Amino acid sequence: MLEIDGVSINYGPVSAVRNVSLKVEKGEIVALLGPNGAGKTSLLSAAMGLRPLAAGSIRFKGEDMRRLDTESRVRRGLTLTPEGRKVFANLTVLENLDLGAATRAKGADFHADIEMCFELFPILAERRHQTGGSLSGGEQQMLAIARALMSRPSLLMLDEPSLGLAPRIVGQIFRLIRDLRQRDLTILLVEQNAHEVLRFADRAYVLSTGECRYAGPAARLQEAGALMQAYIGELVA
Amino acid sequence: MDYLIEQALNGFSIGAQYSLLALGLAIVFSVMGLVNFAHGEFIGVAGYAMFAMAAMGMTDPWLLVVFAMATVTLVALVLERVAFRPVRNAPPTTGLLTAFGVGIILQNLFLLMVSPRPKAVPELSALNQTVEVAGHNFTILQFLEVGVTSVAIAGLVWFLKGTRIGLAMRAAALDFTTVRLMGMRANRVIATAFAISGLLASIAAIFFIARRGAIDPFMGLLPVLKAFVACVLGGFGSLPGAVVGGLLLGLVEVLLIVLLPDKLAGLRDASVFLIVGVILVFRPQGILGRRVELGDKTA
Ligand SMILES: Nc1ncnc2c1ncn2[C@@H]1O[C@H](COP(=O)(O)OP(=O)(O)OP(=O)(O)O)[C@@H](O)[C@H]1O
Ligand SMILES: [Mg+2]
Repeated sequence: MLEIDGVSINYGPVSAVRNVSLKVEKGEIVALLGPNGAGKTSLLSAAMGLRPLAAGSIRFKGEDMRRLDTESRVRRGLTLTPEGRKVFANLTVLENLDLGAATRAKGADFHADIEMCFELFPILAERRHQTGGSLSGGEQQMLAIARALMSRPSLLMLDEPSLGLAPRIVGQIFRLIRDLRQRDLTILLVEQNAHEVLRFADRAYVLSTGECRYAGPAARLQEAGALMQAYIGELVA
Repeated sequence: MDYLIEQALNGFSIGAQYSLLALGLAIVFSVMGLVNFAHGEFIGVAGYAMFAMAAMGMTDPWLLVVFAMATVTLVALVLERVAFRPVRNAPPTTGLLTAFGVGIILQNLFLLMVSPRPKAVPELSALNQTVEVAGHNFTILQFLEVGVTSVAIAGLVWFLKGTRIGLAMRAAALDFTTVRLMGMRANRVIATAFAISGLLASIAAIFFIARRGAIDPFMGLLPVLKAFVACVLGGFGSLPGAVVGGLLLGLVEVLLIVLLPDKLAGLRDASVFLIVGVILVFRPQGILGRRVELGDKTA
């Protein structure tokens, strides 16, 4: 579904990602792991067209993404829940969801999708007229995911959804992500919380200082802990 | 007492013009961080558009008004496309210089193509007729200024809350990248902001021209400065702040007209800025602005 091939990304003279290749097949949950500054966020931003590629190519559903702007990529079913949630703090929960559906007409299925989000996250229904900025961290993460679902994506990319959340809330969020697979969603999940994620991911990639250090089944990464420690430090025990 | 009531409405109607101009400045600033100092030239564009049409024999005031509004909105869109889009990602000072450049070019166009001297645009002067309401003398224009401005602001509120592009504009004020991530095109959001700022400025321009009955190439200079002051007064970037700041500025101005003896009339603008300065000493973030923590700079 998503094929990232030999991608490099630069910030001016600084090279953030070098020659990274990554594949996500339909129906998979793929984990993208790595320490701070590894280039995970840069890679997802590039996939959405927010950062230019210095080299390589990105294909989604067989189509070359390089010439498409962000809007066109969202229209084709690619969506990102950004790092730090980035809920619209001055907009209400409903308005946030409305903007999430920016690429779709506001027809009958729009309202059905709002209801679907409220079923998935009952707390958002309660808070529907509250501003995004007034929600707790966990509620904001739920809103960010719900907002992403409003575009009806086929591939959902999540950038560190567990960041700064209490363990109980993290468990809840991860359970939800697993459930999303039943809704015909494919998931690319960026995390530093490697331990938990490797338990339910199908395959995993490890990025460190801009380079790919591992690509393969998630299970093997759990076993080969000692080997991986060398690459990503204390993250995998 | 009579005099006071009449002057209060006068203050509101002048303030309404400043509010409309200040709103346009604030809307563009909030979505792209640009203080568009060419904003005042929209008044000139409206004036010369009406002047040109009248010179060609079209003197129906309604048609002139519609033509002026359409022209200004179109010019705002064109300026965004050819002047401001190329410098969108440049440092803020570049945008500011571009705005000054655009303003000077427009002034010189008016000057070269028409005349450096003021020209009469008398078609809207009928609005200055006085009407008597409950024993007070008002002009039709004053009621229109307050009424139309209220409708325009209500329309803007509806637009910002009720349409998706309006939601995007509000969200973009804080986080444009995430708005793009939703699949909303930046070009569309920014062009809409410019169109709205042009439309609001054209309404202010029509009132301005109706009051003066004449146009000149530099007629936009003082109004854009006042609109800028209104924005600062209300809290820069805040839309309600722009409205409140504009109204307050209008009221202060009229108050000074009432209080200052004729001999000191020349000090009116200076006094307005002095009062604004004093208000800002006590509320540096503006009336409705949020306090930005810039760090302690005391030695
Ligand atoms: N806007 C930027 N300007 C300059 N350099 C940047 C910018 N964003 C990221 N970088 C650099 O690119 C590299 C990769 O950053 P990136 O944010 O992609 O890492 P990450 O894996 O997402 O890290 P984290 O886990 O901390 O979120 C880092 O060295 C970072 O300093
Ligand atoms: Mg990151």
